[in-house]
Parts: sequence; C-alpha cells; structure tokens
Amino acid sequence: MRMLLLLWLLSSACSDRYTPWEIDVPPEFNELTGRQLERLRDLPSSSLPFTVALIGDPQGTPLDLERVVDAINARREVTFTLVLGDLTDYGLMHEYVWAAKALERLHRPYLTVVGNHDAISHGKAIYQNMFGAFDYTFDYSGFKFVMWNNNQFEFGTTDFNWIRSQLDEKTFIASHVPPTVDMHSSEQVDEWKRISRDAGIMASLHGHRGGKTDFYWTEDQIPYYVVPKVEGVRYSLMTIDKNRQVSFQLCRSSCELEQ
Amino acid sequence: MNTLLRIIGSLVVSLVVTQAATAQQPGPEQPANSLWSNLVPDSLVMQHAAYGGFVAAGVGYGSGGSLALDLLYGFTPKEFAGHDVHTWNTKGLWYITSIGLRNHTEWRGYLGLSILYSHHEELFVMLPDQYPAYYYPPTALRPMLLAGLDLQIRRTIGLSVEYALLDTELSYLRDGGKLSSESIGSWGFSVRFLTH
Repeated sequence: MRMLLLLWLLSSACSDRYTPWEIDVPPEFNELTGRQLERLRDLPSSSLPFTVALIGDPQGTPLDLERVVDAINARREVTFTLVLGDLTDYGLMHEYVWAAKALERLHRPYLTVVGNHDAISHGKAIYQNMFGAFDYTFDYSGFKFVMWNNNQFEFGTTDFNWIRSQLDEKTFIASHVPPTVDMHSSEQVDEWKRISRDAGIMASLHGHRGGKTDFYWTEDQIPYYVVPKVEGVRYSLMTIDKNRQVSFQLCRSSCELEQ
Repeated sequence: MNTLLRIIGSLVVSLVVTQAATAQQPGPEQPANSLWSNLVPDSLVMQHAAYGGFVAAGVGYGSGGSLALDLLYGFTPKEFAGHDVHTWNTKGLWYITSIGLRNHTEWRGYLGLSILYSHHEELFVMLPDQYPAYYYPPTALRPMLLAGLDLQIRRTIGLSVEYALLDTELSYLRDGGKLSSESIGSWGFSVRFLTH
C-alpha cells in the first residue's frame, strides 16, 4: 500500500512531456494564424506609411527571440511582424512551444511562414495544428501579403502555379527560402523571378540564409530582402512610405537603413 | 526495416561490449561466462516519463555496479502525444555516489547518457536522397543527458527519480535560459526489480 502511494506521488510529480515526438499542441497555442489575422483586422484603419518588423530563423535561440520581441514591442511604429520561417531546429514540440510563447508576447499581430527545419520530424503536423495553413494570404492597407511555403526538399515540390495566381503589383511575397540556387534549380529560380517580374510585385521577403547580416538586392526593380538570423538579437524593419516606396533597416541595438 | 535492423544490431553490439568490459573472472563455483549468460539481465525495469514514453519496460545490465546499461521499449498513446509514439531507449548509467542505510537500504545518485530512437516514416537515421550530405542530423535519434537518484531496498527492488534533458534543449541553456523543468527537460520515475 505504501509502495502504491509512493508511486502515485512520484507519477503526479512527473512532467507531462513523455516523448520528444509528440504532436499534441497545447490548446493556448492552437490556430495562431487565424487568431493573428483577427487581431490584424481589428487594427485601426490603415494608411501609409506603415512599418513591418521582419524576423528570420529564430531556431536554436529561444531567448534571443524573446529579446527581439521585447525590442519590437518597444517600437511604436511597427504595425505587425512577419516571421520568415525556421521557428525550430528539429521540428519538435518543445521548440515550437518556445517560439509560440515568445511570439505571443508581441503587442501587435504577427504572421508566420513555415521553414524547412519546421517541417522535419513531425513538424508539419505541429505547424498546421499550431498555426494553420502553409500557404495563405492577407490584405493590409491596400497591399496583399502572400505567405508561401516553398520548402521544396521537405514538401517534394514548389507550387509555382499557386504563387502565379496570387501576385499583382500590390503584392509582397513572404517565403522562407529565397530565390537562389539551393533547394531550387536555376530553372526554377528563373521561373520564380519571371513570375515576380511579370506581376511587378512590391518586394520579395525571405529567411533561410541564417547569417549575421541581411542580404538586399534589386532585380527588375523588385527589392529582394533576406533577413538575418535572430541570434544576437537581430531583426529588420520594412517601411512602405507615402509614395509606396519600400525601404529596409537592419536592427540590433539600433536600426540602420539598408541602401 | 533496414534502419530498424541496424538499430537492433547496434544495441546487441553495445550490450555485448558492455558486458565484456564488466565481466567478472569466473570463480571455482561460477561457470565461465558465455554469451548467453551475458544476455541474462540483472534487472527488469519499468519507467514512466523522462522522455522514455508514458510507460516503458525493459531490462538492465550491470545494475549492481557503478556502470549500468538499460534497454527499454516505451510507448506513449495518442491521448498523451497526439499520435501513438513507440520508442527504444538505450541508457548508459554511471552511479557516482552511494549511501548505505540500515535495513540494507541504499541511496545512489547517478548521471547518464541515453539515445532515444523512434521508428516512423517521417523520421530518418540515414539522410533521405533529396538532401545534400550532412543537411540534417538523424531525426529518429535523440541523445539525452540524465541525472537521477535511486533508492535500492534489500537489493531486490529499486525506485528511481530521473530528470532527462534532450540535446535539443541545451540550446535553451546556451541562450541564457535557466534549468527550469517548466521550460525544458522531463521528470520521470522507474521501478527496478533485481533478478540476481
């Protein structure tokens, strides 16, 4: 009897993390994309200029992500935040929960795209339960943001037909993988850039390079921007001014305009 | 299936190597060690949590010495993990302290290293063909650090409380986080029945 009581006491003291490979998302972190889109719709009427914070590749640095969230919260000019993939290193539940806990502290809405690391192990199921669809769009201030899953290694294909059907001259692309030859062949990169050029999109926003600095270039008058990795408390700001011109700033303790 | 066979093979090899390293010299009344006698476990183990599964069961070798090896199969039903998870756990334990009390009761503190393996079509040991070399480490294997306290009673039964920390959770500490069971790690306990 005493042994049973001891076992009961021990089991009640144990944590409920039984396996690293669980996919059961805590209820408070379910369907976050839908909740964030509601928050975005509830914002006061939008106008130009506005500023978007950009976060990329927070995997492996959960507390630096919290520090970035604090830094963004301190910036009153930020309207919403885009997280450009790789919230996790191994697609495991505890990594997702670290990221969600940090992002839920943002005072203003945030939207995510899935990264290649998020989709390994059972990460696809966790991402869908925690956030929602891999591909989706939303509108803000007359612009359309196309959140695109282009992690070809993990999903087997890149849906160029979908992206083609979504783009016009008021569109921003946000995807984890940038248009460089890595997961995609040079033919695919050429096709992607041709689709963007034909639509005349506003800008193309990405993560994945995981560097200490950002990458910014213009091609066919389209700005391409790759955010740095969060490690070291790095993030970026994108501002769309009254003339609909797009500019970028790289931020650590302070922000510097990218030329 | 090839992957599973490789894992089972490596478990058997590690078992034989460990036993060979800790084998006692045969005495006059003790028959010479054979492979079969090496395979007879020193203990039967039941475990709850500590990332080994909702419930795990297996065998232990070298359980009375300072170095021990446990081989456990663990299961977590979908009610607790969102899907059924099957795991195999190879635990190397190092008993670092021992305090004997009256009535043949002994407290032992231990540290350990463990490799968890889960077999699932979404997990891999060998990198799938579409990836360049070294693109990802194996997702079906997860190393863990262990620390625990074991209470052994009359050398017949042992109760252990154990804290397991995954390799992927070390980044939380590297990033300045505190060792808090709310954020990282998994507490568990086990019951060990010593067979000889």
